Amino acid sequence: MPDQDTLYARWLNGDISPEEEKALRSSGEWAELDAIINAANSFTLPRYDQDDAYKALKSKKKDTRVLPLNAKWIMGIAASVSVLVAAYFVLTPTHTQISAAYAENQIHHTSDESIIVLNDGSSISYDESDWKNERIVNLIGEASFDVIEGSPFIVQTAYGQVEVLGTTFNVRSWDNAISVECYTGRVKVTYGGKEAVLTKGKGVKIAGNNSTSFNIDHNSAKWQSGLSIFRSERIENVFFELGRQYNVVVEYEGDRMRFSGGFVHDDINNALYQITGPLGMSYEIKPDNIVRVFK
Amino acid sequence: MADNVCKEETYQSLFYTHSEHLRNFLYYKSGNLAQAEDLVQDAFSKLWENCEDVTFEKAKSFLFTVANNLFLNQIQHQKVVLKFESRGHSERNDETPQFILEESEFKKKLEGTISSLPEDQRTVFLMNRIDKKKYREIAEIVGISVKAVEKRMHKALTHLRKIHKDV
Repeated sequence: MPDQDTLYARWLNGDISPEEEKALRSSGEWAELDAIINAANSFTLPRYDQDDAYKALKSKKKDTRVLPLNAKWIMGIAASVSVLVAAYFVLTPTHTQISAAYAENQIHHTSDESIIVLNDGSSISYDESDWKNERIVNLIGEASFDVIEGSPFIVQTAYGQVEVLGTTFNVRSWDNAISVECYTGRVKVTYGGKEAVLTKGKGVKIAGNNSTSFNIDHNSAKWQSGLSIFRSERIENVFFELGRQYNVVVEYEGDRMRFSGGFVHDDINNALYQITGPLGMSYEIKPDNIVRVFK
Repeated sequence: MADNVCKEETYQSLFYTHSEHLRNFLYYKSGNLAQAEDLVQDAFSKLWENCEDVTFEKAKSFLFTVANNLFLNQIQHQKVVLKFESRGHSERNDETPQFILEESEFKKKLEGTISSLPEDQRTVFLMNRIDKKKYREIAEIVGISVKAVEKRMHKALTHLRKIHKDV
């Protein structure tokens, strides 16, 4: 039985029963409501000049923003796990494959913003089609991982696999050996039917049938100094940090947006390319330490 | 790739899509056209300031929520008196001057009674009648259930029926 307290609202939509219609007509309510609605239907509001309003809005729009003096939002790679493995890849349509050419670190982020930094000569490939349930990355060489909490994250190499249980780690895999260092969280290394679980400050090296555990006293990969990494950071902050690292001023001529990725500290051209490349933009280094970034 | 609200064209198209209904919404609440138009500007300014964080799909909801919050922060002094313009005069020749006069008096009474409705009923009623919004869309904007919208509409019409009493 429809509610009495929505009767008139339903009447307006033609959403009443024959009994209700009969009652409304005979009581005269129908005629009264009709008169109200007919009169209300002729009401309009004064015209709103959108062109004028938009012009006024644009002239008010200020783009000055105060840039932070201390950059708390800069993320370094806090930890890494090294795994040495020779791996093979199976390529499917949803596969992503990334290689770091020699003399170039490659900073890569996946769709869930996990960050993978590749050391020279290394490559990874992964398929995101089932990323919600399982995240599998195949690795040749050495990479550092900063994994967002989520479904199981597994780094596979020909020699063994590393399963991340919510952490940051480095995996080094060369010459038939695996070396894994864990800096935060927990990592499980599986090789030849055996398993090793590493917690913060522990490492393991596996070659052939030998495995050696060791303690580590550093909290990030040794090869990885000199990087700034960002996750969904305002682009102007990214350029601010680059400017700080290289003592330049960046004039950015693009849209405001958020950027995930990173840049190296030892080569300004690589650094600028690492940011502008993914954005499809170009840069120009001008005299007086000014860099122009444009489409 | 989703539209970036920080892009001028996207931002502008959001303005042309939503500004009028946003202004109307605020006018129904406040009865003050200038205040309503100012609030529209403020809400869109806030959208620009936060453009990296608001997706295109969420922009409408952001605008109405921000505008409503800004409105609530302003002190409402005056009684709400809404003024409507009449659209489309009847061209029928068989209407006597008496009829036309009575009709316009009726509309005046209606205008006054609508103005004195409680704000939540008034807003919902006018969004439906003037902006032609369906109950579902009104529910989303105001943040209540469709059933609650229907109840407010019913109450509004119940009040408005009273015009017929004082002849």
